[in-house]
Amino acid sequence: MEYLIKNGYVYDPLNNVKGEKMDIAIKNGKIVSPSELSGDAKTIDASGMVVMPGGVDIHSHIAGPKVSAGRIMRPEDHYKVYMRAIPGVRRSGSGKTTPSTYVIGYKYARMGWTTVFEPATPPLETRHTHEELDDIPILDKGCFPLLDSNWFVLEYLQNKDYDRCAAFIGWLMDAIKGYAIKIVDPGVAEAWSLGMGVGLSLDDQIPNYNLTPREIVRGLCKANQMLKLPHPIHVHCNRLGFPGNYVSTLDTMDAVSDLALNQDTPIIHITHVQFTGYAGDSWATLASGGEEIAKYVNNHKHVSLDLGQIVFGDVTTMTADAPFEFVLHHLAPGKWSSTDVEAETSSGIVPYRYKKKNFVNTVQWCIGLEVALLVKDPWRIFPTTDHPNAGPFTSYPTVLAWLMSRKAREKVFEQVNRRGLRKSALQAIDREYDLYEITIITRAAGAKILGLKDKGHLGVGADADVAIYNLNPEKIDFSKDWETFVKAFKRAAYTFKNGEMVVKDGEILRHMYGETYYVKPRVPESLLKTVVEDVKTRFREWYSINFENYVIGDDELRAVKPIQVETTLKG
Amino acid sequence: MFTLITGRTLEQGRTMEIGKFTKDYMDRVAICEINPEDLKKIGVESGSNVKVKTAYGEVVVKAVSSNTTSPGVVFIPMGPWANMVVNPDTQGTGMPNLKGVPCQIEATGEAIPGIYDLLKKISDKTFEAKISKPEVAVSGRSETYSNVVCCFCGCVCDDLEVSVENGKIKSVKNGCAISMAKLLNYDRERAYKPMVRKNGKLVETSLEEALNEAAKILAEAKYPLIYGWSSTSNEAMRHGVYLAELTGGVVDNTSVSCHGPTILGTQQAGVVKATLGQIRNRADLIVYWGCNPVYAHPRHTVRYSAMAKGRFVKGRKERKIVVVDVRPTPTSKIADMFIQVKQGMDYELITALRMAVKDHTIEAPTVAGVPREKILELADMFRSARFGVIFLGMGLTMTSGKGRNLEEAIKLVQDLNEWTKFVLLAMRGHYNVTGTNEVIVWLTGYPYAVDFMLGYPRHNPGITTATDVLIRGDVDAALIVASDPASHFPRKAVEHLAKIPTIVIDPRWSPTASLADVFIPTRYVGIECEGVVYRMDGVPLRAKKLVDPPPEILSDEEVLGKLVEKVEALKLGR
Amino acid sequence: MAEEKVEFKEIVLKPKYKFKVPVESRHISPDSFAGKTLEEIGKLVVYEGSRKKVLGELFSFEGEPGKTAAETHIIIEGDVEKLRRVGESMTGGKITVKGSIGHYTGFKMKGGTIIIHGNAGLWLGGKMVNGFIEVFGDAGDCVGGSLRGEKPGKGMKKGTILIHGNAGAEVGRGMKGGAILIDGNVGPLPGVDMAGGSIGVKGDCEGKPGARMTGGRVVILGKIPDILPSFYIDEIREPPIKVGPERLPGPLYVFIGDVLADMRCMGRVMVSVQSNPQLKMYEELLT
Repeated sequence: MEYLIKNGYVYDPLNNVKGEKMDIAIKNGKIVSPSELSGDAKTIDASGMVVMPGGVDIHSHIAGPKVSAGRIMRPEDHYKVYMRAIPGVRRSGSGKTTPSTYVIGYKYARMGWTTVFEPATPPLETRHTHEELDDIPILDKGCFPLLDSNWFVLEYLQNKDYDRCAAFIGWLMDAIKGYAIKIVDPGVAEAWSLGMGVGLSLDDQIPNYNLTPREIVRGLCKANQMLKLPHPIHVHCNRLGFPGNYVSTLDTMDAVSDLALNQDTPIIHITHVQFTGYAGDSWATLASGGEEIAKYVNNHKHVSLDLGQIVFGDVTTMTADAPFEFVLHHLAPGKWSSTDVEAETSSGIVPYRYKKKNFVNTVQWCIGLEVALLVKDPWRIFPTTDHPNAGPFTSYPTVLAWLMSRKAREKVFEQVNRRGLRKSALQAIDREYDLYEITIITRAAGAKILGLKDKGHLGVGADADVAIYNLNPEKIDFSKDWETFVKAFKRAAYTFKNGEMVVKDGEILRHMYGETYYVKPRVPESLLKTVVEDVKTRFREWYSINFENYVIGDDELRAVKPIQVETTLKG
Repeated sequence: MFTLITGRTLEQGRTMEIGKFTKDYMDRVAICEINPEDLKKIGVESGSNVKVKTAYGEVVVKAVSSNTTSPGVVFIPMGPWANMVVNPDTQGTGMPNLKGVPCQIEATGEAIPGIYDLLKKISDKTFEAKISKPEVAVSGRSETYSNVVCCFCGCVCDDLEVSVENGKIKSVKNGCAISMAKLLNYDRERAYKPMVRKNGKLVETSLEEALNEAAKILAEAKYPLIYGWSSTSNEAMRHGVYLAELTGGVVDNTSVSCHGPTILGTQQAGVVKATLGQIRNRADLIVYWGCNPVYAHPRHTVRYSAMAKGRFVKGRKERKIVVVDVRPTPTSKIADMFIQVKQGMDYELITALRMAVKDHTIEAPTVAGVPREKILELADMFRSARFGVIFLGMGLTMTSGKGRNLEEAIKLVQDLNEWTKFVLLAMRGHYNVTGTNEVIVWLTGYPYAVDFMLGYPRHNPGITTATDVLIRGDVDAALIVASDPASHFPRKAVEHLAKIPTIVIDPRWSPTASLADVFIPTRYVGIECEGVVYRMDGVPLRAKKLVDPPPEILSDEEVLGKLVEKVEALKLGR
Repeated sequence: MAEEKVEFKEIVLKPKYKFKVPVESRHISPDSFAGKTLEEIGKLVVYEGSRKKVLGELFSFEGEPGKTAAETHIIIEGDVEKLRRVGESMTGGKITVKGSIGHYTGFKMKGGTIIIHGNAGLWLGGKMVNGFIEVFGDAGDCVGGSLRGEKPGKGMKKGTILIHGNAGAEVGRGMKGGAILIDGNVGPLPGVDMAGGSIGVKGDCEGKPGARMTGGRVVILGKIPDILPSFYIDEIREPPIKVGPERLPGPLYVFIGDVLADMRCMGRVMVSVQSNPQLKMYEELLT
């Protein structure tokens, strides 16, 4: 199919296009020069509309064992929110905070998003994660294996054997089709296995290991640099959920600052920073640590952040930070799930509700926005809701409106807890993101930080993932009319995926599938051999399955997109 | 008056894999285990026939003297004979009352009905398993496969070694008795051509005709049941969900009569669990509650639990084993402590344990037949473990309270986490029941019993469960894949199944296949074709292909894919 | 229940044939019928299994509805055992089912009356907000109940449900208020997750009454196998106790609990002294 998108206001930060009226041409799934189109090309009249690359979400819990565990334990989350099947066009589904796979793909595409990454998968069960990813329609995707409490990693790091650690990770990424290194409250699965329900601080000793979480973060950062994986280490900091934990975030960011040599891309990504941005020493004295965090990020180029922005209402918290979920279970009595995955990691799930009048929830709501508005470089900040922990991904348009419009924020100020509002600098901040910056943080920067060269932009050769919104930037003042923005972003006028029109006027037109990205780091033969021998020897004692059944074949996934990565490892 | 319990036995599982139409199977399953004192009381000799009567039916079986069966309690292995007398009422859970049914036993001169006799009592339909031999003798490669993923129970052991000679499985290493029975007998009682019922009898036909007939049945049905799934792959399950959505019917898997109640408990409380390796490596206290792994999951204790060698816990000697059950079992023989709980009162015992764990006073001196001191002792044992685990089985899912029993057990484990590390795990019975639950939940939002009548997924066990829609006669057609409800559902459900047009897709003949209107034989997942299956703890594995299938026999996934195309064409008017 | 003087207009529904699959419509209620002509009513949507149809295809109509819900009396004759969601969310008026009815009858009803001469299916009066339901036969499981996964207290809020026959498991599951009275026996777990309201059972109970209750009372005049260990004996009550329109007679053992759900033990399970000699040992704890 060929399309000519005519006359739209194009926002393409990676190619420095800031809202100029331009034509965008699509052919064979790629962006091409308009001169390459034949007479058969269909014209889409985008006059008065905004044209952007499809959205790229770097952190959203969309697939895997704990996502389904969340669905299973919350039938009530599915009674009122559902999608009917339209036979021949789209499948059915259900779920508000724990949506089923078709709902995930459709609802992202309806908002103009086309690439989403699952940020936490337990290696032993990653085959399950891929099965779910495979059943999410439309989107391109990938997943980040959890490595912080992996017994092999811990042993290599304890022995300061960084080469082998990197080689192991290189082998693992290829074996289970992973994309980046995920770290969650490092070492916490060990603590949880021993019944320690409070998590670890950055410099605590990990039980039974001569290691601290700091050493794990540094070790994995080094390994990542040796592997040259396209994405930095993706870190959920220690002490998540504890008042005063912003210090842990600062320490974590600083823990690898000396490793950032001459790099102008981040070497550490701190995820859902809101949850680890608390000042104060108790829930009663909770305050925002956002200012300090933003200050650090402004002064240090080696860090990127995503928000984990709170949206008031129902959520389902789910994370590999099992002890934190145990704590939350006490604060919000009700259902609680937890799963340990042998030799690797653990997880916890607790349904929750953020209430506007609640002091703590109000402070939490302020922190994410405060950080986003104080950080100056839009290329290093991402507006996630850590779906479904801080809010469902379907609330992205509202979150973006809060960044673009002070008025939108003021409307919320009127409704929330007064005392909570005073615990951050948010009320005093006037800054408003413009549409160009919004494009950066929702598309361009995401593609860049993931190293996806053909995504997040509309230059010739890019994947034809395009979103067209019914917004006229010359007529609309987003600062005042943020409601129009939200409406337009909730239902894209058009969404294209790989050059196919999948959404029109916010309705799904077709059910199709994207590709799963994974990295194939080149590990020198002899080093690989050594590491695999290490693994095989231990596997019998540590795991309950046979080593040969651990590896996932390419043919097991619907459509793979392997990314060859040249490492610095030597044989 | 006696209390009837039904359940798995090693022999029932083994002979089931050899063939449900064999005398061997009947000898092992058409029996009633009775305490010798009770036999004397009713004047019956072991080995003679008895008539078992309940409010729901009657059946003649062979009385077998059993010292492990408590006085007042009788046991019939799960199967077609037990189904004639169990209570179909699921009490709003989908799980019929398969344990704890009041019954009468009397001596009788009547003969034990064979499987066809039983089915004849249920329906006028002509039941016939036309067991045949392949037209062409099987031949093929000779090879030894290692790391083979077993395809029988929820243990999904993946360390089997299978030797294939000339295209046939010759021997199996590392498998348990039941897995060996399956792997060495899978090619018995098979059909080699699709069948369609014409003039009341099943006759061979082409795949195309069978598929056309099946598609017609499904497309014309107003509310079909799409059931089974637990012995096939995740890939096949996806088609099943789509078929239910296309036809506006209801899709369900065998968890409805197995661990569905555990899911009900999880829906109320959540669940705290771990993968089997974590348990093997660390658990120093193992409780088997209402389950009998030595029978139903034969390698479980050796590979994953009581006897297994872990990283930190080196073996049996470093563990305490507790068994809670209504009667001594082969598993209770390996325990350090056996707690006999009164039938139907596991909930009460768990509540008392929760009370003790939280240091609340228990007023009654005995709860569920267990003395208070014992309960306090147990609670202390639990609290002081380093890493405890409770394995849960049918003793909780099938007895009074059902889903609430599991909810209470989950809450007990959650309470224990205040003290120490504690988890639980459901002893999922069938091969890929776990995987198919997961596929259903990620595709629809609900884990089983999913109804598409209004064009979107809805779920309410007790109303949308396979057992209930059959028992109430709500469905007007059925597609049964890789399962045998005619052998494992209560009589009333099978009666209705025999009345409605039924399509069966399964590798072999079974009582369900013999009542089908369309029967399409397929490949065995894990033997003749690959497929993804999930172990009881959720660990996903890829089952291998070991031998070539018989000619023209396709996999469930392929057959269902074709069926989907045809139903789509009929429904969407293409 | 106070008898109100209402001028009802009657409309009679009869199924045109025997339903083989579930039939579901959220429009069979006085609110949906009020003020409509028979022709308009005949065009209301109903599902026969997965087939979307209109009421006129499945039912014949006689009579006419009232102008408002409160003035409308729907009479359903014939075999409607497979008919579901009758009276769902109704705010007033009356429905009489001359035979047996299916699941979700009176689900979320806000007012009005439903009379069932035969049996009712599952979730009768589920999540009832207010109103009156009377069943002369048996009722299925989860009478007045909340839905799966919902927190305690999400069941019945107000209103009265009378069942002259037996009821199934989990009567009053998660209820918050209102009254359910059963003349016959009930299955296990009456009052499970109950936060308030009252349940009365004149017959026997299969077991586990009041599991996890945090308020309200469950009164059983028949036999129970045992009381849950999370309950404590409080007293023997001589005077009768009110449940709905009736006063159930003492003497009754009064147990407070469920301590595991709420340490304040505000729930009450009252069981007949005479029917439950196995509970006599609790009397010692009272002295």
